[in-house]
Amino acid sequence: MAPINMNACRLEHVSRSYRMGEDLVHALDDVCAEFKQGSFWAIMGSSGAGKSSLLNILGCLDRPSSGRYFVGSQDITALSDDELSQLRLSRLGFIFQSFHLIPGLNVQENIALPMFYKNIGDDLSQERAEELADLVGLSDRLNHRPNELSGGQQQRVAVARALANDPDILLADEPTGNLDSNTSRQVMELLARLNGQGKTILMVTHELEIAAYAHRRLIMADGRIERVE
Amino acid sequence: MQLVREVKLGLKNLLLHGMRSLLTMLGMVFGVGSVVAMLAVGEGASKDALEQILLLGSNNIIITSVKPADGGGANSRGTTFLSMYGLLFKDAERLEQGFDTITKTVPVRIFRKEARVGGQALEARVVGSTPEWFSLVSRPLLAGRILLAQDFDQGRNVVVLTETVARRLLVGKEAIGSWVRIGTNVFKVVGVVQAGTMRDSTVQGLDEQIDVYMPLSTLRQRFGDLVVRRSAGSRERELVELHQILVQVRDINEVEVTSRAIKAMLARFHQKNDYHLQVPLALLKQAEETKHRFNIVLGSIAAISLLVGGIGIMNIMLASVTERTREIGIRRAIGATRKQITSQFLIETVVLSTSGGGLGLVLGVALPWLISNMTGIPTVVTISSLVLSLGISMVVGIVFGLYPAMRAARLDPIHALRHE
Repeated sequence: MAPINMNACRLEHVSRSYRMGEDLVHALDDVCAEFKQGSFWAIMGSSGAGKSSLLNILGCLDRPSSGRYFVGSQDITALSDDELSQLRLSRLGFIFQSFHLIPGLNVQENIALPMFYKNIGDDLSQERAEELADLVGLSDRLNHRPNELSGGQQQRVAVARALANDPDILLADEPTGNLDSNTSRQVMELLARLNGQGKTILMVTHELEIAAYAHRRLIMADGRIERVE
Repeated sequence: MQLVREVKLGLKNLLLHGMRSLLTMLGMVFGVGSVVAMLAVGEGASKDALEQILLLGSNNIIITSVKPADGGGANSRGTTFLSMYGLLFKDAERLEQGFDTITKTVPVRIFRKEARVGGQALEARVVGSTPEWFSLVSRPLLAGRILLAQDFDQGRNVVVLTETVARRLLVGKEAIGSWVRIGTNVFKVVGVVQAGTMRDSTVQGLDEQIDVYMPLSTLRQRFGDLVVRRSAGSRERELVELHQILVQVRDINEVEVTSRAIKAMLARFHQKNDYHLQVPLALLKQAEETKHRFNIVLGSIAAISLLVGGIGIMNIMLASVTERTREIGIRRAIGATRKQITSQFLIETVVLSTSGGGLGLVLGVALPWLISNMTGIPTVVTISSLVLSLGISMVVGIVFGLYPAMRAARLDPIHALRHE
């Protein structure tokens, strides 16, 4: 097991700017942060503060314009597109606001999808998908299509999918944004439970009640970290 | 392993949009279907032609007398003309003795004469030849026997009839042993043979259906060498010693050389161009050449129809990539590499085009069957045409799937995820 105080990931003077027409937009401006292994963070801020840009970089979907980003001890700045994919596949798990399940696949196949890309055999991945479905309380819905499930159920499938390759870090982008308060609570309790089992969780949200599940808060404004609580 | 799963996934995605997939495939279905069907018709036609030619014997050379353009240098005697032309007994002798490569020489005389049995009459084609004739020309025996050496040597009054002649002249009678009157003589029927194929052939014509075969010696004794033909007020007399000489060559590789040598020999002894050489082997080569050209034309049509089918597929796949942008974003976020996305869409396209090709094969086999059954035109569906078509439809899938697949793989995951 990794030492308790090790970083799950770390940002070093990360900036990200886009060119929009003639203007250069600074979405992130010299951000430095460390996220300890097993921590549970809520990333907050008004819209346009740079939350999504930050999450994209944390999730290795985007690269910093300048500065460096480490996942564990690995500097991702130098990695190729394939290596980034590999990193996302093995070490990161995504949970999106609108669930983003694949409509043509049933629950079990959606959960097993990351294992498909990791080339894990059918038998093993089926077994693991069933375990994960059981973990999120959906073992009786394995053959259902996403459109046959409620929002809360869909999000639980998404969580199960994020766990498929047993990643270190879960990245959640407004995971309860499309859910009512009751199902929101279920999903957040699930995330809290996973955090208790050692997963690092980085969650973007603007709801205080949801942020309350996290142990730490990172508040962004104008592409900078305003304060850390 | 991975490939099997991806093919399964591809099939699943296609079944998900069954109707659309089917419509997309139609181009391939009709493309492949028409190619297989056209090949089958072409193959049938050329096989038919080849069979006809092979019936003449690929080792054989057929030399036929032809009336020269000036009417054979007719000697004018009042209103009757005597034309003298054509092959001579001497030619047959020279062929028999002068060529190492020739194993058999069969002289043939042919003329038309009325054959009669009781009240039944028929304008028959009387063919006089040596018994070896039957070993060079395929005439399956139906009853009795063919002509023998003794018939020839003794100049017996015996004939072999074709099935058609026997049926028309000897209605309800036992053919073997019956007597047939031809001209002023009567002949005993000793055998009945089947006359070639029932289909009309450009090489031998339908005449062979009404053949009456007799020994050449008998024919010369009974009818002489002079043929008198009555035409519009005048009588035309022809003196033709032999109408045909069939030659069998020892080896198929010697056919060409021998035919050239025969031509040279005949040219030396004949002042007029009163003969014609038919070399089935040359016809065979010509038929194969024709088939080759036909195949090129077919290939071009096939290429165009498959191009159209392929473009249709590419069009739908591009639409599918756009429609599934978000799915691609999700897959990329989860950790799929560009290569994996490319192969997913490529395999989907190949599965689509190959399924279309498969349905096309069914169509391509059913169509010739229908054509054969309804029109009687022979068709032959070859295994190689099926394998080729299926292979080509796979290649079409790869060629036309590559661009949409690469476009899918090049999508930026962040933008793709936000795509509605």
